[in-house]
Amino acid sequence: MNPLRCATLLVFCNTVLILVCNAEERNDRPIIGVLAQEYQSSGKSYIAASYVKFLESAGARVVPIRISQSEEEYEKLFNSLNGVLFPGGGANLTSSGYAKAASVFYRLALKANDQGDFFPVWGTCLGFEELTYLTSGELILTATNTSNVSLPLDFMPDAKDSRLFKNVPEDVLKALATEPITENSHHWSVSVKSFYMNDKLRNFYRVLTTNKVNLEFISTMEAYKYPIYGTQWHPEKNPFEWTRPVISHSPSAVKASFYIADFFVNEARKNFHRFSSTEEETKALIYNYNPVFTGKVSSFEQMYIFVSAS
Amino acid sequence: MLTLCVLLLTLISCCCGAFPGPPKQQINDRPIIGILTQETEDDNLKPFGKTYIPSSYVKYLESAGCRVTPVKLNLTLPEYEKIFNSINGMMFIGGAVNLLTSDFAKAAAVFYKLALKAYVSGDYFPLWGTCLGFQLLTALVAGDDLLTNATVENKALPLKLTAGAESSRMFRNFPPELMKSLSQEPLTGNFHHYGIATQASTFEGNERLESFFSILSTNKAKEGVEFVSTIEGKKYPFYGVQWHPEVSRFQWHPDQEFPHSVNAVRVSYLTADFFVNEARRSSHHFSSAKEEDAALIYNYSPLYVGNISSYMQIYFF
Repeated sequence: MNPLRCATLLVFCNTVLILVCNAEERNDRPIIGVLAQEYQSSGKSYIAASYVKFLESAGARVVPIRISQSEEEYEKLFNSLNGVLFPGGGANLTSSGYAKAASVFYRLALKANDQGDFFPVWGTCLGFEELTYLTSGELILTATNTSNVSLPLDFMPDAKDSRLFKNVPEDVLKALATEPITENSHHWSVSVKSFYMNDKLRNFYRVLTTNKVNLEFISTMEAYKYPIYGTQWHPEKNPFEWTRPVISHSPSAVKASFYIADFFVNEARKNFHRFSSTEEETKALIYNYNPVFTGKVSSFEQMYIFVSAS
Repeated sequence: MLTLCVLLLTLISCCCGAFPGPPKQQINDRPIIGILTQETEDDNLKPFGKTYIPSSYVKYLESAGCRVTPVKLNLTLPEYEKIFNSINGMMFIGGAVNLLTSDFAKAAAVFYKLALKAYVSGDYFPLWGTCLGFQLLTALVAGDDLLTNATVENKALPLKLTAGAESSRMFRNFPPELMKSLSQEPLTGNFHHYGIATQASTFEGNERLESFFSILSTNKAKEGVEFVSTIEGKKYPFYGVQWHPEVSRFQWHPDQEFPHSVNAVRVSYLTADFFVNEARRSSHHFSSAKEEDAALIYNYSPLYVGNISSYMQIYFF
């Protein structure tokens, strides 16, 4: 056999071996990044602690992704993390530091997944809307009266077989479908009508659940070909936020929150990125910060507040 | 006729009041659970505070939908009674203090007695003990320290479930496949040199323990002795584990054998979920929103200790 053929065969065998090994291997120390966003116009940025607790509750560690970092810094962080979460909030979907960071991570995630490097992305509320903007290039939101209501989810046919829902226990799915446990605090929604009229969106995402308030809007989606997921509702609030009566704290609401987090953290276990050293990892983790108790003055019980842009 | 009706009505109400029983329904969707602080024993940690609670226990309980309040040591009985009547359950953490003479043990004894008394009058107040906390529960019930050398240090094990485990209150809502995994995969982290032996003069030989608790699982120690690893009160809502469910999700020291598998995470969550649901059966509450706010652990910030201990973060008091 000539050397070139030999080398090709060797590379091929190695690739197969790596793929097979990774298919069975699992990263049991997943670290997920959470985007910070501008804190009103204070010059500071923040992450609501409930997003951190949500991910930690399913066995991940968290790294805050600060706004106004360079693309190189984001790329370095991307290659160290096993997933990213775009939280809810009120940042501008196109021009904010949050939006710019989201755009970088979204693009890097698509590229990585295309190259066989499985990298999951989750968007909650604003994050869900951000995903629809990043995928379609357009803002297609409609105003809805959904800023303070908890609802069950209207599951699409076969949605329970989706990647997101198929490993969620039957009793939890039933609760999600029948009990008003999913918290909605958004003034805007992606209407079903607008969604299906947009080629890019409807070819990229599978609608899993909708809801109807004023009009029918998308409440849960997963991408067909990428590990990208979004909910217009807030799974992280039920166990961790106590200031607003609209948030359900029923046993099924709390359990549903866990199993949604469990799903996404298990997606992150399929990624094998690592920090370049233990020191780098320790420096990046959110343990370096302490949240402020803001429950008496804000709708968040605790918030991580980041003071400078760096 | 009217007098007869009134008498009958009074009799009925008295009878209903006489045997209230514990509430079957979960009535409190805003449970607040107390975690007793413990004397700092580790020399590396003593400089930071006299008493502590590792954040992993706080996160463990919060993750199942409750809030947490730290309960300090060496308070007066009236102060403890007030706290008891404000909160919906209590957790006794692991650690390394004396089961009989420490301030931790003495404070725990207060809550144990209050919980016993409350149960009898239909006031449900659950207790949970992890590791040392579990041993403490056995000491409180037995009235003695029954520890044996039973080392399982830094090792994850499956549980040897007893025949009654699957139908126990603690485990009956666990998915059957997860129970199977629990009995076959190393999902429970163990970090102890002592334990309560199943036989001889300890658990099965001790009348008080035997009549009070059901053994849900056992395990085998380095010394060859079989020790009790999971218990639940036959009647009382008191639960204990010799292992550490909270480490699977919230502790990450690379040198420690913390089980981080998918199933370990689910077992960790479901045990917390079970206990918080027990706490939902308590209708206790703080006497005002102001008092409640002041008591919550949100008022405190933990210290990062990942570089000097096997914990990630610790609250010091």
